[in-house]
Amino acid sequence: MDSRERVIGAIERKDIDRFPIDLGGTAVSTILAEAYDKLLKKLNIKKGIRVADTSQLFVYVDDEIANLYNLDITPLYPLRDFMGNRRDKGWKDWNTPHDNTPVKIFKSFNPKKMDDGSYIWETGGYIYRLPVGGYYFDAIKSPLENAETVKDIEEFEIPILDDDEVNWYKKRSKELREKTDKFIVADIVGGWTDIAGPMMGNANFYMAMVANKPLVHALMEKLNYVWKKRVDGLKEAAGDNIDAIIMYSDLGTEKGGMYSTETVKEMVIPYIKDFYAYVRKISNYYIVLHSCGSIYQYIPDLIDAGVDIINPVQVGAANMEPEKLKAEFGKDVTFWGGAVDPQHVLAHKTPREVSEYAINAAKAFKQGGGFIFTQPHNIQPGVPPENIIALFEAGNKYAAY
Amino acid sequence: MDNEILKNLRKAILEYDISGSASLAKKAVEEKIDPLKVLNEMTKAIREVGDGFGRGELWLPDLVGAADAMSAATPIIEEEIKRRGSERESLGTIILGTVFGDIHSIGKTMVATLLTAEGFKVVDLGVDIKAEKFVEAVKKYNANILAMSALMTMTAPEQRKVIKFLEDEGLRKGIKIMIGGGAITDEFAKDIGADGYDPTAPGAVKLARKLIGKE
Repeated sequence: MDSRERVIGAIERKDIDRFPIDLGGTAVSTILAEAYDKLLKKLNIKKGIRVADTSQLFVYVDDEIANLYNLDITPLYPLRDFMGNRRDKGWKDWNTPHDNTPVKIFKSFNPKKMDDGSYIWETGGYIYRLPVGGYYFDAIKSPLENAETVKDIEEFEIPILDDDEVNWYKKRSKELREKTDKFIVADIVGGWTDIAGPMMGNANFYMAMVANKPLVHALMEKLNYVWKKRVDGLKEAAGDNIDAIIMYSDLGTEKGGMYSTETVKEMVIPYIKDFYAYVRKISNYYIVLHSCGSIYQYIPDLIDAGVDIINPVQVGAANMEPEKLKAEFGKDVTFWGGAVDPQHVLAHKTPREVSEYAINAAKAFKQGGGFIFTQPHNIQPGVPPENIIALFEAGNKYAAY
Repeated sequence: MDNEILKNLRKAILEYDISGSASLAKKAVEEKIDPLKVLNEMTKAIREVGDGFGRGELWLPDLVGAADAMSAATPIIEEEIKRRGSERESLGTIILGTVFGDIHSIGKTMVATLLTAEGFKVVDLGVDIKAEKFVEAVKKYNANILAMSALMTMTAPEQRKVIKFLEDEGLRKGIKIMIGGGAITDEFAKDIGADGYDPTAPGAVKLARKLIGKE
């Protein structure tokens, strides 16, 4: 059974040899450069680190790690990374600002260093800032932060795919399919609350969700139009050389949902439903929905909208206990993540405690299939490499069905 | 007329109407309504939102919206209070900010707004604040409480650093410390020697009152 068959088998609830394991298969199940550097050193793997995204400084996970931990997923990132840097123009040497980890980074990435030592990067109406001592770039200026009317949204242009991007998807998907037996997840940098929030400025967006609904509806409609066009382009370029796409829409905080169930039902769910129906009409692609935090209260509506694969399954958040999620939604949903509590266990406890947590989570999630083992979201700097090793060793040990 | 303005101002806050609340505050000043009375009315409105959030009836957008509408009106009223030479009774002084390396501001600003509404004098240092700057402000304003926010798992340990710094400066005993942020837990707060933690902004207000013995 190869990796691709295994992942499809997990999603389709077929008999498989073991549950699939992911690290680095998506932009939200990978690892940041500084943590990766320490992991490689701990494992005595000598390898140059390649940054896969300049905003978060997460990496391409290398074959050595993929082979060691039997990883089953590989990403097809778009031509341009999250801050607009092209992935096809070669590399240059760089050091991460926080602890000087030497990395290879995209050639066009040349952030402005400010007098206070922070870095600034401007692209497409956004200004991003990485503070001194900080770990990644966050938007400090958003293109739609002053939007007030539907007209402001209508006049705002969101790029679809240019020829270079289509060609990139075509070339890379073919290379990946030929080179590997892994399940391939394509990224179109699409989603709902996750994209609309940074576009408007998060606080503005939260407020508009209840105080300026026509504006949010107009934006969501526009986003869906763009995502559908991007999927069209992807489909034409990559065809069956990819297996899934990932979409982003955070809805939870650590303590509960961000919005009332009614607000999500009214403002988000219809657009998810519409998009899923479209993708399923034109392709066989699986769709992974990434939604951070405590999203328990929204899951029934997400299922109604067609969602059947959920990531990152933030098990440390309220109401997100593995047993509970599996019992209530396990027959409808594949849990892609949830192998450990990232904030309170993976980052701060001992390797033994990480291992115990992962084994218990895996036991709860694996029954009857529908589980892909990975940590919720990207592994952050400061997470001890011993804990990462403990996590993936535990995953491998308890993977077999 | 007075009551009408106050009623509308209250409504503007409850309906997250930023420009409306600012213009109504200006109108209240023009009509020479007692600014303390105006502030009191606004406080009641924001408390109502906070309580609704606490009961699980209102959500993050409601808190952000009401807090934004509130902060559009507050400076106008505060200026009038100052101009008249009157003074709002202060519950105490709080230094507040997001720690070094972290530029997340939504939660921090919401807490600042609610604390101000409650009657604290809040000095909001902003985001990405170094330990030295927190300590300097604690000294300068002779603060009763230091409130620190850290959204990220990796920036939370910075809160420990600030507390250590206060200890080294011999200032720890004279001040209460409260912390907040997504990745924070009670256990972490105790571990780093903070005096309290609450997961929500309205909860932070209750905590601040408790810490200064004015529950």
